[in-house]
Amino acid sequence: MRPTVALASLIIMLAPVHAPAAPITFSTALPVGEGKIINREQLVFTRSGDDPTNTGLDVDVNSLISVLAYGASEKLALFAALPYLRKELRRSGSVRRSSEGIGDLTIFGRYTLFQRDGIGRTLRLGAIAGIKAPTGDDDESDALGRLPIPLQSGTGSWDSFVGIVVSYETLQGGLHSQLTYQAKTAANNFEAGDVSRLDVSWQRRVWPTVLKPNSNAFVYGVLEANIIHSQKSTVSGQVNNDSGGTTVFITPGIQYVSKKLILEAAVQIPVYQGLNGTALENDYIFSTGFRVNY
Amino acid sequence: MKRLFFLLTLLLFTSQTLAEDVHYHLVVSGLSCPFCVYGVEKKLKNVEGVVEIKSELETGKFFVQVEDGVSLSEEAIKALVTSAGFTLVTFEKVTLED
Repeated sequence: MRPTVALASLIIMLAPVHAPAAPITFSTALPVGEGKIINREQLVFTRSGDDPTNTGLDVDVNSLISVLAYGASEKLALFAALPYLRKELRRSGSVRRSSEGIGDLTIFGRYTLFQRDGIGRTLRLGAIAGIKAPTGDDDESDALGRLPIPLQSGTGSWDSFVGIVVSYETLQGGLHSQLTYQAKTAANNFEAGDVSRLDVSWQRRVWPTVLKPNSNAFVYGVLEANIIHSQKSTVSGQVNNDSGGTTVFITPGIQYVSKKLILEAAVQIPVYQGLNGTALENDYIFSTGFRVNY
Repeated sequence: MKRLFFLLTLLLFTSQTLAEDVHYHLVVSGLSCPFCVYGVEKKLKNVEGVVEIKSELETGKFFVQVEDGVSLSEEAIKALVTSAGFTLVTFEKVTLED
């Protein structure tokens, strides 16, 4: 699997659904109250077109990710994320292959290990763990035959991940960070490389500039960084040297937060792509969406 | 007779206005944005007898008005706030008489 598509999968896997003024591109340790349900709908547009082989390869992945979060207790929150994907590959303007359908379902839980609250602020640490089930179609084909693995809606593999997440948030803004490791398994004679990821998000309230007793909506400026390292994949047991590598994104964004609704948008700009061999580089990832507090 | 009727009416009106107007003032910590406040408000709204809730995010204060004769216990409210993911700092019953 080429790194760009692996990145898109990971972004979907960890699509955050969290509640208050949460990071846009990853999860948070902020609470989902017991019995509470939060729904997030996120559109993600991934563009990859910097092909070092000069064959004019472009890959677009557009996805609608539906996420539900449920507070099982004050410490345990459960999440489910299901993407609907449209993938398209173009090569030198003449070859065009695409797929569309439901992707792989990700289910994970987050348990709060530490909580320190103050008036207008909170510090929390949580552990997360989950699995990705192969619910997406991994055997799609077109007139040219079976689609290559990066173009399939599903991976066919059961993957798992663990991580820790920490959040410090005040009425002025917040600082969040997440460290995760995703272990991949083989399917269809292919095994994607394991993925390690470190994310940081800094948020600052830009409106209202001065809090009033009736301030019921905030606007935050958001700046995030995502460091993602993928190991090399294997095909039929052979290491693919044109796969894996490290990508660093800087992600500016904006977020509107009211009592029941969050609106947000962010663009992940790759500032470093140390990819192996002829792996396709990422141009940008744009995401936008909303979260509803039920 | 007219004077007696007037006095009785006045007495009835006075007794109504002197009925207890019970509020509870809570302070909750850990709230850092409006999305959090809604989680606590929703829990409190589900409590039987709660009429109205007002909140101040900056101070973490919640003003809870209840129906006549309804009483809230600190333990129950603390459990509700905890289940919402936050911490109850103070719980105070305030009786207003006009």
